[in-house]
Amino acid sequence: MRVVSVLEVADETAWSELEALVPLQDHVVDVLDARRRIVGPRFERDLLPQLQGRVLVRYARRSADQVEQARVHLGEEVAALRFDFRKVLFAAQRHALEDVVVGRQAWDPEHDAQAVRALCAADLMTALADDAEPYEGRYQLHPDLPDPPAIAYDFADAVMDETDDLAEPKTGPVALLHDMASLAATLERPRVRMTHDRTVTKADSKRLGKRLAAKDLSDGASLESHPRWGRALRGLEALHMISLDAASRELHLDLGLEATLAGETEDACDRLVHRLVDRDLHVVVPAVRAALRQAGKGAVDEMVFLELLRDQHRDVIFPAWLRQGARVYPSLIGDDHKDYDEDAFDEIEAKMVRAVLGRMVAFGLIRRAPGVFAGTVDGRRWAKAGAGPHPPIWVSGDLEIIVPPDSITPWERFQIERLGPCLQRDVVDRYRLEREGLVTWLSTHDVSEALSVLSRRCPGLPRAVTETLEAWAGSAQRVVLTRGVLIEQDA
Amino acid sequence: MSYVPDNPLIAQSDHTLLLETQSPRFEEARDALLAFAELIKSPEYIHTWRITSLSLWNAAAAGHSADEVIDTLKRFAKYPVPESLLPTIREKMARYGRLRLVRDGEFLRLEADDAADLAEIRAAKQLRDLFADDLGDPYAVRVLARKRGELKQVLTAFGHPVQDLAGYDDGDALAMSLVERTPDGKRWHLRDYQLDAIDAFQAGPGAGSGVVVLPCGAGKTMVGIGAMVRLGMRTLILCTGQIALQQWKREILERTSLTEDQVGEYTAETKQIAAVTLTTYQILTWRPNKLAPPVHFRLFHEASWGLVIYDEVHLLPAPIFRESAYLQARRRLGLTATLVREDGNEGDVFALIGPKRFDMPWKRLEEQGWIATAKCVEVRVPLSTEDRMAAVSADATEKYRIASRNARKGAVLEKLLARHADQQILVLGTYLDHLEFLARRFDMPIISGDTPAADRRALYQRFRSGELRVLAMSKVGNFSVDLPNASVAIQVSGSWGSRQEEAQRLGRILRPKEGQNQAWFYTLVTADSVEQEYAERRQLFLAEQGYPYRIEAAD
Repeated sequence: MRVVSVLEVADETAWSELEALVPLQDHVVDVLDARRRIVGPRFERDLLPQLQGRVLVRYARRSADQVEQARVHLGEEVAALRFDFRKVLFAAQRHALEDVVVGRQAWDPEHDAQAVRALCAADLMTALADDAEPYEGRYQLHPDLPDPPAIAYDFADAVMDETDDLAEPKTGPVALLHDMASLAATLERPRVRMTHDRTVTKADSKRLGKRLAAKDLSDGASLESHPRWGRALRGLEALHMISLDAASRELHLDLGLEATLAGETEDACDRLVHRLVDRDLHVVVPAVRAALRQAGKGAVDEMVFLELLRDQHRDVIFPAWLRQGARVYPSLIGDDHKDYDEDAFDEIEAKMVRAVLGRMVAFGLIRRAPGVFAGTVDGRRWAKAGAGPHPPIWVSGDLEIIVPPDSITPWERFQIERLGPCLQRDVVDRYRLEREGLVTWLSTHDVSEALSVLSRRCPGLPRAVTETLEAWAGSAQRVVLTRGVLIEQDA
Repeated sequence: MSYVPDNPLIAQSDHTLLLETQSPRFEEARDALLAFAELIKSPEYIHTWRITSLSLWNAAAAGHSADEVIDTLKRFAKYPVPESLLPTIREKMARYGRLRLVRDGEFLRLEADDAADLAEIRAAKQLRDLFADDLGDPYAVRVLARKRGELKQVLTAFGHPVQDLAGYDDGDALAMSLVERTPDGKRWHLRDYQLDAIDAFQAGPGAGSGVVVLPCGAGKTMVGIGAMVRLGMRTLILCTGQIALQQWKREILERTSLTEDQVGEYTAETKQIAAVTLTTYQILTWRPNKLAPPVHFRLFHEASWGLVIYDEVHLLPAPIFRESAYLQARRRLGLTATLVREDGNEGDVFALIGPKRFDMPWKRLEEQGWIATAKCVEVRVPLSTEDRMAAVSADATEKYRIASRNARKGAVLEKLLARHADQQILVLGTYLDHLEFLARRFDMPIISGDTPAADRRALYQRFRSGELRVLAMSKVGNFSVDLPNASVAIQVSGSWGSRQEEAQRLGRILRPKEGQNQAWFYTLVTADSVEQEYAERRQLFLAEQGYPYRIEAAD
């Protein structure tokens, strides 16, 4: 296999148009068929600038169907595994962050070594190069693995009424997620440059302000000190969703952003929480989420919650290692083993849980009083315990999109903002689809995906919108250069 | 945030109102909004309205209170109404009626409820010349009668609308009535909404001046004729052009008891001043040189007019506004499809012609069959390989020219003429040489700026009578040409950026039709060209007006 750039035209007459403008033939390495030609690496450097606006540059990627097929295939492989191997895989998945797991936190390196070897042999995970200790270090899980089954927690006995002394809620993460999605989409185009003080240039702040419909920004306020958009910027930075190109000083979006925002609002919120809590604490998060879900509009007794967690699924937090016939906590080589008993739970896991609860208060997901915690509005939503009705969005033939509160997920907002600028942020937000937005979108997606994003929440996408987007895509894709196409060596 | 899914209204803090058309309460809310908001656009799902100072003053002039307006907003709101909106509504509406203009012998008197308002006005430099003398009364000041319009205009711009209660000079009486049958024997009468519009024009405080808003094709001319007949006074009618003038004249003679000698034309060719006199904006604003005043303004003052009708008031030229400032003692009726002016001078219409007296959603007229429903189709026509190669290296202007005159549009036009073989068709174009080429090819008569008026009238008459099935028209056909039997319009080229051109061209085919009451509006656009990009603005306009459009490939 080799990676090449392929130039493709919608109809063959386009070749002569290109030839009339540039010496295309000098850069053609191979002809795949009447409409596709492999071009050499100098094509982009020498000819592309002269063909500005006539060639759409795309990045090869797997289609949603291909991703789904891979997931199904891996799911079948997982189902065929031995029960105890599967158990190790699921534990690894639950402990993993961004598909990377630390072995000693997820399994017993001695007793589960065979399972780990089997999982690696099946290409379900791979030991990373810096794995110094056998079976203890970092492993990369296959990105297409289906999610592990949810753990069945029963916290019914911990549910109680809300108490009067619960603290006031802090700002929750849902609005932040939406703002991060908006800002990220806006940063994509036009490219934003940072000064050497690591602040966004004033001119770019103004441009961002226009696209974000943030008048104070477009009037010259600084992005970093803006109460709303500065917070969103810090959020993106904290999650390493944007990076700075040292040479051009341009901000670039991390490709993982879409994966973080994917799914329903609750899913995006959950991923955000997992990324924000300390690495060794995030395994506690599902238990808190389950408790909030079961509490609904009520609260949770913290002591009872801890007892139930210990009795039901203590090993979710730490796997018990078997050493000399005794259950002990995971430890580094050379450290003393600590017994995996009830007293230790209070000393270790209970403290971890309380630390997580503390972080969740800061994230605006829960409110706490001594011995009690309850979900905030966002917390209940995250726990799927309090989502209200979701109004539809409206997409009109004049290419405007009206987005009411709680109508779309952060992922959908990211996509909508990529397709056009925000015209107004108010009780409802207004966007306008624009050709340039779609063309940028087409560099990574297809027009059918754009239509799918719009029709997902809109009761009936007007035919005019479909036809307009398809017409834009048709014009933009008359000549396409696809980078990173994998082809057989002899093609 | 409380959310009432079945309610249709979303009030934004910038005073725009969004109305969901799918809501079960949509029509109820839409009718309620007409009183105090202006419809900005009406695409499929969400109609956008705006509350402005003028819309609130119009509401106050019609007798609505701020509490009513706020109650309407809250009653239909899907989400809580932004708190910042409510004090603005109260404050703006409270302004209307705080200043009143009343008769005071040969003068007028500006009265105020609040001495502070008058003190502020007295202090304004721009207003000093308008006052006759200070009465020493903190609540009133005397105004020169001839400054009536100017005073209202300036105060409106200042944010102090004046309620004009000074009344009107009755013009010379003119006995006339509506006839029951048109000359061809057809029975006719004013439609209910036309009668409602006439009633609204003549009712309430300050009645006798104001604007009636009705969509293209809804019979605004009939409202003007009805108002004129009901008043029974000498009338001056200002039209947008010669063709429109002829249509007014024809309708007046066909629908009223007035005779030829009672209806005069004041145009470049004829200078008749009769009991009812028709003239055009062009002739009124004509001046022998740039520095000279418009010589025909004397028409306004040469007869004792009881009513002045301004057709398409949103197109009223600035000089006529200025002259209208001196006509404030005459009754004034503005007719328009929209209060939105491209020049933003809506305030002058309010101050000098009068507040909005009547408005009706076009959708309701369409539902009732009073205007035709229109299907808008854009046909994408590819360029020939030869033309495409020529366009590759052409500059922007040349690219547009090549796209507009795309030779393949002829074949598409041929198919459309065949598709609508039983209907009367207008072929509209901007590039005359292309239009002439098509006219020769399909043997259709053409009306352009060079066509003498008499020839135009004859061609229009042949089209109206059904003798002509297809008629080609250049830009001259955009305005106020009444061809009620045209049910298909095909645009072969256009200056697509112009909203006005689009509305007027569409308006040509919206008159109610026999049978299905359906009109077709085609636009031929060269695919993948700069023309296609321009055409997108046109699509936006159509969508905003609530006309769904489709895109078809030529093949």
